[in-house]
Amino acid sequence: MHKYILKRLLMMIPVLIGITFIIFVILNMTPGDPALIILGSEANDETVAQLRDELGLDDPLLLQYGRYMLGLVKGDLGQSYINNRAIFPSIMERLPITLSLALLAMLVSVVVAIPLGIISATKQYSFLDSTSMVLCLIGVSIPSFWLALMLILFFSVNLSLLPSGGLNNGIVSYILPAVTLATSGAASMARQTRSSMLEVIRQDYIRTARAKGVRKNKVLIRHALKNAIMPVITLMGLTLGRNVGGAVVVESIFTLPGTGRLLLEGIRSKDIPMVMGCVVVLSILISIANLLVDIVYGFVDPRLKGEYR
Amino acid sequence: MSEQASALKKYKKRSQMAEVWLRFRKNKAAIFGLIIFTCILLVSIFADVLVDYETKVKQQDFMNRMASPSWEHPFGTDEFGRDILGRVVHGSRLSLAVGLGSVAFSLLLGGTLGAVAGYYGGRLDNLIMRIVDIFMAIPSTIMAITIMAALGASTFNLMLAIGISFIPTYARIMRSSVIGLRNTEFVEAAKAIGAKNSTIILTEILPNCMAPILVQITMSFAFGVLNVSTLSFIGLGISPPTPEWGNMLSTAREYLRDAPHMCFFPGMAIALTILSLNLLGDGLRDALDPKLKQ
Repeated sequence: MHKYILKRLLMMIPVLIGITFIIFVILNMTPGDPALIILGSEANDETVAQLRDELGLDDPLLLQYGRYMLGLVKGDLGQSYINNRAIFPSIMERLPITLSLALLAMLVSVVVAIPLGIISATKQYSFLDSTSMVLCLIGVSIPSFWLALMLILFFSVNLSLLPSGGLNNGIVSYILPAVTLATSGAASMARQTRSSMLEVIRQDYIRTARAKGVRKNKVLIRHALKNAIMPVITLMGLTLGRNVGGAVVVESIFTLPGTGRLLLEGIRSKDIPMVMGCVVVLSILISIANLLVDIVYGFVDPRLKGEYR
Repeated sequence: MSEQASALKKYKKRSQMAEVWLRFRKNKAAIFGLIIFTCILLVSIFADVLVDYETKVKQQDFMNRMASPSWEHPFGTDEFGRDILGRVVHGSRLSLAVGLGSVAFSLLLGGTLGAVAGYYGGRLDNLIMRIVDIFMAIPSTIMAITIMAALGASTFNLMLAIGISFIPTYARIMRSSVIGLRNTEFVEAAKAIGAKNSTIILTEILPNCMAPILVQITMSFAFGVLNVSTLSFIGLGISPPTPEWGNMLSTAREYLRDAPHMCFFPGMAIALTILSLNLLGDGLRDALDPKLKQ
């Protein structure tokens, strides 16, 4: 198992280098001189040239990238063009909000989707099954930002039950954002659980277990779910990634001061180091999430563990 | 005997496409999706005939601001008194066009990369797929936001930004289909008579891996439409006054309390488009590959 985890960890390094490089190159294509953004458009040529020199903007791209990576390893993501604050602490300040939102949404999805998928599979073509599958189809089709607006309209404007934004009410503030973010993930997870459960419960060993006299629920959980859950775990990893991306939109609707809003503010003010920092941190987080999924895989599927013994 | 033979003959005559269509036709949900999507497509193609752009979409009417739905304006009017129905109809054009463009772009690039990687194998395969893996590790929303931030908002950039995130999927599907086919007899036969590699890929292999590609096209088209409106909603896509579902919702959000109808219809349009494409995709998958059907 250690070998397996180690190998996964080592495989992450080139991927992280690749991700940061791609993002670095893309953001370098941004039109406009960063020196002019910092100094304002009326600055004279001499000061601009001096600042460009200080920031190392005239160096070759690879050198600039190398410098950035060296900083990244030390936890230094440069300084904001706008208010000169260090990027890394500003992101870390906001990160807990994004993380709790993404994880909470994930939790909601899993808690709703997996039981729903199992029940739908065991009662295939029943009223419950068809209703929940129609709901799931709507769930994957509905755009999250529209769902957010409709939820605000219903629960905040019409019923005045839940806050429409901000963080003033503690955990209650997270309810609508988390539900918004959880919906599409939950819907696809429920569909996946249902279809892989359907595949598994038709197998011979399930019939054998039932024939041996194992109780139905035990067969479902211990025998069927354990085999059916693998594709669902893969989907969970993907969902976590999508949640982090979706958090950008959801944070902006519910005015939550998370990393996503920091990113959008950075884009509006053309604060490239801030944008770069947010994207890099979020991408690293997602890579870590995928790593965790791979490790969970190793635990759930003993065959994988066996390969690295 | 003769009856049996004619039945057999009739059965054999059916082409593969006809088989697929027969299976597809039995799926009510898929047909429903197909009908809805065809309607949406027709509305967007004939938008100019259905609703006049100058008088309905652009013209402002300050006496009639944020009016609720009525006979004259079935979807109500927006903050400038413009007809929302007309704007939703014309909004479909950009969403569908950009969605389609991004799919075409990623299919071309991802498909080629995947086909080359799968067909030649070895080091080239390894190199291409590692790069594809890296692109896959960046979540599509974040990738699209980054590209739009760097290149600036324009229809072409939007297509590029959304399309890039589909490339890995097409490359992977194409590669695995090609690997499955490259050692088959008919490819060997084509090689034996001296066909060029590009000819083999295009005329022998490609038609045989259309099934998964076709399903993926409908799925990524849905995702493309969703992404266009998401990016426009956060101000990085198509900006007003050009009507687009996402930017209409973005404006409507300001008036959520006073004019909720402004929020309702553009969102319904997005949801319906995506729903129809999802139904279509599910139906296609089941019809093209009966083994996968549950």
